[in-house]
Amino acid sequence: MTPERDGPESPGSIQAARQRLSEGGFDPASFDVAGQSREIAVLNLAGARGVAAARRIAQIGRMTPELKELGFRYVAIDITDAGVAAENENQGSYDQEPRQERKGK
Amino acid sequence: MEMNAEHDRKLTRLKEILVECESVCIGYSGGVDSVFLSRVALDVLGSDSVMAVTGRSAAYPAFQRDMARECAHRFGIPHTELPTEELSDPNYTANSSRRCYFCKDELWSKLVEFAGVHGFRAVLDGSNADDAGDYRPGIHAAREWGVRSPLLEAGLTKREIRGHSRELGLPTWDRPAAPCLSSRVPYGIRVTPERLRQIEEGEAALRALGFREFRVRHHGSAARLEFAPNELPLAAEKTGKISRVIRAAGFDRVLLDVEGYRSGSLNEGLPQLTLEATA
Repeated sequence: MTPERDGPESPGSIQAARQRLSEGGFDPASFDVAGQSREIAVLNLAGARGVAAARRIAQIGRMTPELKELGFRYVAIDITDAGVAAENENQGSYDQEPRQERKGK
Repeated sequence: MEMNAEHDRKLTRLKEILVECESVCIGYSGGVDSVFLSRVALDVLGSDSVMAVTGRSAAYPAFQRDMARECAHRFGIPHTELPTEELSDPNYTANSSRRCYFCKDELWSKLVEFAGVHGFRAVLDGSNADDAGDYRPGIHAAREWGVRSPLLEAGLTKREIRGHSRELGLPTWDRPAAPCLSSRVPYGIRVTPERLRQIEEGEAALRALGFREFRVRHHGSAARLEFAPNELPLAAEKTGKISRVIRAAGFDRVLLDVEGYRSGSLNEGLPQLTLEATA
């Protein structure tokens, strides 16, 4: 079984993605899949915002071809927590202020 | 210079086609192509021989409707709106790769009937020369209903239409493409009024945050956001606000696509054979 032929639902594909991400300097635990057929490869933003978020997007952007080769149709960053954090902080300038990075879920 | 002559030749051909048509009913979404076509038709045929018709349903965004109305009002284009019922058609809501065919079939059935009742001799759409090479099942529905595409027939490309629109002072000249809201739902996932509402609400909120070219793609509980590459840095700055407004639209999870906006991204991964078979 070659990873390239696995669909996004394949654990093999997910495992391979985690390995590639680890080799690329990412925390493999921050990797997840989304979408109704689990076609989206997702990396958690881990609380990064502003410049840190832009850097993270660029970093994962460079790995997109590799992740798509594993069978994922899309590659995305999960920014859900950025809004949750903003609400918790309850302030207007949350988008500009750096915040301690958290482990992804 | 040669290029200008070529543009002029195409524009002349467009006007000749409109004269041949005598009186026209135009499918009018308020986008770049249909506004330009309606404006030229008005110049060539006069207001008694032109009617711009907008099909109205939950898949048609309110901001687009407002733009359509504003342009018609500002340029004196005769305009009306007809309700369309594509969301009552199970072939449409099933959301196969032929969805656009069923939508246009409904739209053109309404416009052809309207044209017949009101004595317009031709029904036109705003397809252009660039559309000819794309996967556009909607064009097949247009052909089946005898709808003509004068911009395509004259060989006018999107770029040329934008240039002429600018010269004519049309506010649509630099507007991004704005296909219907159903185009944000992946094939195979049912199109429902509730999903369309979520998409429209999310996109309206992103527009209010200052974004111009983007899509909210509906993946069930997750929204996958595509921003034009030049807007990605702004998106990275505003992740907090973006997440908040998208969740307020009813999504549990907010995903930022790292490749950014590209037209037809939901066609990615569709087998080529499927596209060809349904074209």
